[in-house]
Amino acid sequence: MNMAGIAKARRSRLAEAMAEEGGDILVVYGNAWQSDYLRYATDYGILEGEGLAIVRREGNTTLFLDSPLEAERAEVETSGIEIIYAPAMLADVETLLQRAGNSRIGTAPKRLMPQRLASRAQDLSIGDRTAMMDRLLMKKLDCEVAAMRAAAHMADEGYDVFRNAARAGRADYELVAEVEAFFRSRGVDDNFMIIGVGGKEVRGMAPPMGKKLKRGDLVTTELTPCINGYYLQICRTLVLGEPSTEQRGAFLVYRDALEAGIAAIKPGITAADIARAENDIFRRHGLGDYVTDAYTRVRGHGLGLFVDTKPHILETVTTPIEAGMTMIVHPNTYHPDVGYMVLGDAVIVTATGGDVLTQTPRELFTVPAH
Amino acid sequence: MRRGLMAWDADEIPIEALKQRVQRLQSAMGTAGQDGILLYTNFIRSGAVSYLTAFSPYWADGVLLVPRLGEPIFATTLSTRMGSWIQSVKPIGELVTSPTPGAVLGQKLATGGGIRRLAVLELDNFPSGLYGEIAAALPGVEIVDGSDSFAVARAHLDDVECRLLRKAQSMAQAALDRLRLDATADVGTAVGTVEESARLQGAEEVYVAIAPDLDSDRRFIRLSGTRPLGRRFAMRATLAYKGAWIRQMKTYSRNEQDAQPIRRADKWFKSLVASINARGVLRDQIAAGTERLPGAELVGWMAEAPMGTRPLVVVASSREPTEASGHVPALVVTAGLNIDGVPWCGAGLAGLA
Repeated sequence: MNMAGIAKARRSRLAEAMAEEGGDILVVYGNAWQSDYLRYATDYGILEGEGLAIVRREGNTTLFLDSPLEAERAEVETSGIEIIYAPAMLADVETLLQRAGNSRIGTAPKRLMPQRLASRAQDLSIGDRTAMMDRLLMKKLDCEVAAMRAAAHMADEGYDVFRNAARAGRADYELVAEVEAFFRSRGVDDNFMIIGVGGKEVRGMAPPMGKKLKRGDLVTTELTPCINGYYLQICRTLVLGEPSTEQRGAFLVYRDALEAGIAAIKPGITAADIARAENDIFRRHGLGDYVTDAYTRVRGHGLGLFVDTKPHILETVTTPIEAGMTMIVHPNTYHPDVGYMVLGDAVIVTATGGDVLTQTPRELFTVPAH
Repeated sequence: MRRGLMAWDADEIPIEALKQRVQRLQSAMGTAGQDGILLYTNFIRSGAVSYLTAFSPYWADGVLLVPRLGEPIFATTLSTRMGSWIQSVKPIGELVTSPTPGAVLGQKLATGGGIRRLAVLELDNFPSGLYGEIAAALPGVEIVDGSDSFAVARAHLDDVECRLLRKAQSMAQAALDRLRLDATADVGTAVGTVEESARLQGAEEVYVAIAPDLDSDRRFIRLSGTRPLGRRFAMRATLAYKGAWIRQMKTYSRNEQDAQPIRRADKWFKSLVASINARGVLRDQIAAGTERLPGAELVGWMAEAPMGTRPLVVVASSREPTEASGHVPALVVTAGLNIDGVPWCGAGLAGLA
């Protein structure tokens, strides 16, 4: 199925969900950070400014954009929806909702909905439909899973470019520049990417800070190309020069944790079970402190139309795992002997377990230090 | 998502300059009778917080509280272990990390006491989840829109911002100039070349848009991959350097006879933006300027400025009956022409004189 077909399938599924929950109109907010709700409803990848989509149960959708450049682009890049450039977007949408009579109105995502609209929740009988959309975003349609499967090689190829770009004396942002140029040449419009360079002083990954790579550095990256709206992630660590005994030893813990997390995946368990499988490996090595939030954020997370979608893989998250979910399992954290280390693979949950999408070997890569 | 170079440099953005910006805002708040102001940020709406603190989130979001007196406090949903990184690129003010930054700031204000009127920049567009957290912690406090106070303070264009804008512009121009027509057959190569060049120069962010075949469609889109380029095409680089955002555009043609009109238009536009009074009536200035370019027909124009939380906001254009206000610190002007039958697009900075 082509991307237009997938977008149509998503819109049909959204209309069905609205009908099941008794909704007539859904107001969906989006920006380039939290873009997934809007992308689901409109298939538009917003970049600048903000957007609000009005989705009607019968399927007609209007996308309001407050940037004229975005509206111009949306006219070209979307089909089957109405595009409106709205400098006074909030007032326009509020007026539209006021005229909706007795329609049952829902919004998503609740936290980011602009206050002007949220303040009308009571008198316009606006309900929160975030959970409804979260379910659609987490459990993919078969055609969405197929699209992600077909695009996964781009994460592997991107990491190859990253690895080949890494050499002593280069600045971290130069590696990112090379990866981005590669992605644009291959039809990848967007990418989420953070990086870490150094040793024990490095506590996590961030955007490049201008650090120059040098012998002995661990170079970590979380690389996430977006292909037709779907994000595919890979996490790997490389060493400049020959890895130390400590670096090699530490890596084995991460590899075992990743494999344990993936092996735990099957429908019917919870996100907590995956996190526990990963963390137990660290605890077995006396590294239990390093799986707490002082050193790591999550042990993986959902992937899809958002880089960091639900469920978060944490021992406190009891979201049931279902076939059709896609996620990355990544036991990324700080190791007291070597610094921050990452390793992660994207996985589709099938009826029988976790099907790994990324093919890059799970090894501590080395590149010449000269 | 931001993935370019993010590094604070005291020579480029001195702490003293940031403190003066905060003081101007505090003075405007005093005039308006506001005891504090909240400014939202994420990487799309990074303008206000970046102006005051030099910090833009690469991900997640946050709220800056500027009290009427004292240091700002930044509360963010970025995780606690990112704290040292944040402080390395945000040289001013206190930092709090929390999944509920609104609640944290609300509690701080409630504990501190003395808050009767709290302003919120762009109150209508403030995320309602954060608003709810703040309002719940501050019963009895009047919450008002603080956009006017911020606009008064933001109108001041200091030397630091001027230098950053000029540097951003020169980086974007260099990136667009790097494209060699004889080595560029498809869209992905063109976009990738510009993007790579911008990032190698240290751009914090760059969005490259392309009108891949000007003879069939002048609209700019986000495109990559192997789609072939037309004989005439144009590119737009929207580039950020240390919080300063600009747009630069360039028209390319493989037709030799187009070279002269494109050069004429480029030269004309450079002269036009250099002469624009950013707080004057732009429509008249641009119309008068076009009359000085024989053979040219103005297709459209737009002027944007860093306003409120947005790095660039449309303040006037050929399609809207608006005019730039007295609060505009500087302008990014984009224009489209037909000149001697050749479609042309350009962009540049105005109002820096």
